[in-house]
Amino acid sequence: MSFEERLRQARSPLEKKLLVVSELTRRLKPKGITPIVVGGSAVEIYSAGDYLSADIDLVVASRQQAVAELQQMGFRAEGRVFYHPKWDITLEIPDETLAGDAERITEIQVDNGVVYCIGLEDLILDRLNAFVYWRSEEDGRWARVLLQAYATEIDSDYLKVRAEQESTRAALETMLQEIADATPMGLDNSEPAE
Amino acid sequence: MRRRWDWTTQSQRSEAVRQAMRRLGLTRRRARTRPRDPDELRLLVLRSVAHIQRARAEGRWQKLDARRWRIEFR
Repeated sequence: MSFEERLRQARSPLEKKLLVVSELTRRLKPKGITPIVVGGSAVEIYSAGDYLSADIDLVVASRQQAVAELQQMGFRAEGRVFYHPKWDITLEIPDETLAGDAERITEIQVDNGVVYCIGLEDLILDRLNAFVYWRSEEDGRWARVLLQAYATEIDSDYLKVRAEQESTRAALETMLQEIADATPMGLDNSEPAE
Repeated sequence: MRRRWDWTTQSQRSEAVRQAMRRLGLTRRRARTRPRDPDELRLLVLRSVAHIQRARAEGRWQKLDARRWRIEFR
């Protein structure tokens, strides 16, 4: 099955986005370049598609080579963003350096390809920064979601040290306390009826 | 009869909005004007946590090891 055919079969925006990033990753691999999903798209991945991001945010070490490859794939530059008219995908490369620990990057296997994503702890710190410094309530909500959903898997020592460095430790501790104190609301975890 | 969501039309509408926003330079994040009620916030968090737990329980989001995941879409 061709990439175009596979993309047409995608049933969710996240599936389509991951297939596109996986294709870009495959094309950049011979050049030794690894695109890393960050920002809202990373929240979309860790939230299993519950968060919906308008575009794909990537950190790529060599922006120039990534842009050349994107244009080969049919993306058009529109200011800071790249848009693929046929696939209806918007992509942005906000930075060439990852704001986080390269050792914590997560490899996501999709079909026969891979996508690399910012580590969960660094993503939580990113949302926490937006919550504290931009007063973004929505980012605070998603930091809480990720902290609660992955409570037993998160490297909390790393999280606390980094939060201390970024002066967001108090907000982190408040969130962790709220999660610990939360009364279960008895949500039904079954699939909603059609 | 349950009305089916028209993704094509929705996608075209969303793109028209995105293009208009790009033209107007509205590329920065907007804060909500109304803070959420704490109970609403708590419920939204729990709903999202339940969504993640369901995806993992069904094996669609599989954690292979500390830094490797596999996502199955079908």
